[in-house]
Amino acid sequence: MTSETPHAPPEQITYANLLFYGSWGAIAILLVTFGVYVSGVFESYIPINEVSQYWSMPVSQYVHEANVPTGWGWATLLGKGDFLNFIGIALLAGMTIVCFIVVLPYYVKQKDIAFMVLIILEVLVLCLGASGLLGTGGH
Amino acid sequence: MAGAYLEPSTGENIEWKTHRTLPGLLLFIVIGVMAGMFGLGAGWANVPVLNLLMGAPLKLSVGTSKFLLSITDTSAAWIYLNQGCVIPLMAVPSIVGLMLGSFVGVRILAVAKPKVIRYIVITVLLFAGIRAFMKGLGI
Repeated sequence: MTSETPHAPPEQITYANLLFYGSWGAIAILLVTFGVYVSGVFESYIPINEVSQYWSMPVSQYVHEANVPTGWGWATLLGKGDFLNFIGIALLAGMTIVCFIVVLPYYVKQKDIAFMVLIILEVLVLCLGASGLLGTGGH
Repeated sequence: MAGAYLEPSTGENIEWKTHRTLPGLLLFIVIGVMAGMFGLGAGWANVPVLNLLMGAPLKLSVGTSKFLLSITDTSAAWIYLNQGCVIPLMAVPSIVGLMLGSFVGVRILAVAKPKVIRYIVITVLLFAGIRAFMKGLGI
């Protein structure tokens, strides 16, 4: 144990704050868009009363039968009530990339090669995932 | 890697240092392969590797596991989004619920006594293990 109170480095604080406010912002957007979706203000691509029939289908069958776009095709359907929710989901999924890019200059300034390489690789992998070029995923 | 953090429950500054990085990396590869093959999820295995093998304090292990899941799950989220396999009616309530739950959980983690966290982790891992075992046997 040490007598000095430990402090997180500024880059970690920046990352945490950005992720915190970004996440809350995305949740707020999700709540609004979900309210719009279920209230029926905007027409849905898949009518809300038909959604349950797709729940148990394999993905390929669901995509085929519901004629759901793959890749970034969802971005062309943001005018539909259900796909409007993808704005918040994409924002949440994109926050990590934004956070990494914002903290990268800290490590460049410190000439911390190891963290610079790690961050660049993370951003590249996440961008590859976001590009729609990969077919499968999981955690 | 080494560092220190303030333990709010005792007011002590805890110094930590990780060990056995290479065996840890190899085990994370095994966990990743298992997660990819069986769809079991990797979060259940991260904490024991970080805590028991690499020697990181339990709270640090929980926080690190949560952080790395935020990165790996982000890449998976993009892939699912681009595969067209996200149904907003199910996804949005899940995301909002899990996010709000996470905010509460992190707040509790910060102030809870490490011993309490240890028992919670053991209990959760026990149930996760039983669930994974049953899933593996198709029960």
